[in-house]
Amino acid sequence: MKERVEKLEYTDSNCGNEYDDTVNPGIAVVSSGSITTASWVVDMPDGSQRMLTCAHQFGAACNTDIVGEVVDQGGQKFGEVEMVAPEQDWLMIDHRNDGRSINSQPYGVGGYTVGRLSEDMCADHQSQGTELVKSGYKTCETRGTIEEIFKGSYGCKTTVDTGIDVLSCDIENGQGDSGSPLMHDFFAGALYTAFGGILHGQVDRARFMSGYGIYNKYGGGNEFAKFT
Amino acid sequence: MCRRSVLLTGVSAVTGLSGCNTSPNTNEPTGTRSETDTPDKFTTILQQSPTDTQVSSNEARREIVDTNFEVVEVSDRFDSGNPPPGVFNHHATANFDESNRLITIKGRVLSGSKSCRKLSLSQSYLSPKTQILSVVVFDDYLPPTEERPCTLEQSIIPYIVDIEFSPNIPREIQVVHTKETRVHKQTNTTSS
Repeated sequence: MKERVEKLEYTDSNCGNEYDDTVNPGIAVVSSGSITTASWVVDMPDGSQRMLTCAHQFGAACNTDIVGEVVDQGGQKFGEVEMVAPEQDWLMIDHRNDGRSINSQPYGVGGYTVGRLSEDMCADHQSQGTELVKSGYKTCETRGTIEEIFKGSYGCKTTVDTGIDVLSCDIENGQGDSGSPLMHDFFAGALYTAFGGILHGQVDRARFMSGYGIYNKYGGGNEFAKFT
Repeated sequence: MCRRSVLLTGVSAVTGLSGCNTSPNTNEPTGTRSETDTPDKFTTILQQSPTDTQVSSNEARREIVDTNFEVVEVSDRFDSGNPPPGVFNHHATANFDESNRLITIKGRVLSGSKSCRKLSLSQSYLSPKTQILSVVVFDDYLPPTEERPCTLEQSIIPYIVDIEFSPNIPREIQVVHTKETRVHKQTNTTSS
């Protein structure tokens, strides 16, 4: 491994996604003194919906004590943390008591129809070389490819294999993009986009927690939640 | 007890000196300020107005006797638990507590990854010549590892600095927020 040093770009620019009446994936949310990006909409078994974002802004402690913590959007309360999976670095926001609506169409990413994430579609589309797009608070819409997929866990149990895939991707990102939805397109009679993962961080490449892994563990056969 | 507070807010461009003296009969903050905010450095000058305090014969004798720096939980700084949108910036305030010979600086640093950033007090120095207190808060960068990637949230990190003096407190403080601006990228040069 060869190490090179680069100067960190400093910018206050963003993508115009600080506030929206309707909260989409790609919109900035604030919790624990940090700006992250709303990730994806999930359908609950009762038909209601929730919004996902990352969980690491609450620290590396592997606990679920953050349930009930407030998540803001645009200076207003957006909702509260209802559920957290720190080992997979995501949390679920219940917004229903706070007056805002959510929509599954990713912010700033046009040309696609959001499609349901099925196991087959994920299996077919999460592989090395898959082209992806992400929508983030700081660097907006950027595109790249999956360079590597491996088993891992970054939320807290860094040495424990929880079975979730981590995607190493060549995609530009910046501070505030944590939680950004990673999307890949698929064709099923029309062009759809599906949930590919949640941006966790960066080593040499961007690291996303696989949406397929989350789906497998908390959705899929468990009928816990579905990605709309 | 004469306890004065000077409240300053970070701005995104260089600003010059601007007076904000007020009537000595009010409780409004007094003093002057100068702020600069560049990609690598944020500087705030906090001054206590000399007209508001009684100058003693041993005014020039000052010495730092104790310093304490602490990172503060965001929820302890903001009642709502989350900062409102307008405070995702650098910021510093100071209390000049003459009776206890104590200066307390409350600030916040605009930072990034909590997993790869570490805030510390790198300097608290009283210049013998100018009698200006310099306080430098450093936002260090810890290179990521495979087990600990640099997470990509944008955060503010609140802090508090208490500096005790003898026998007098200085009238001017320079608070500087600086950070390690390099990022280390691993480039795999081995063939797969």
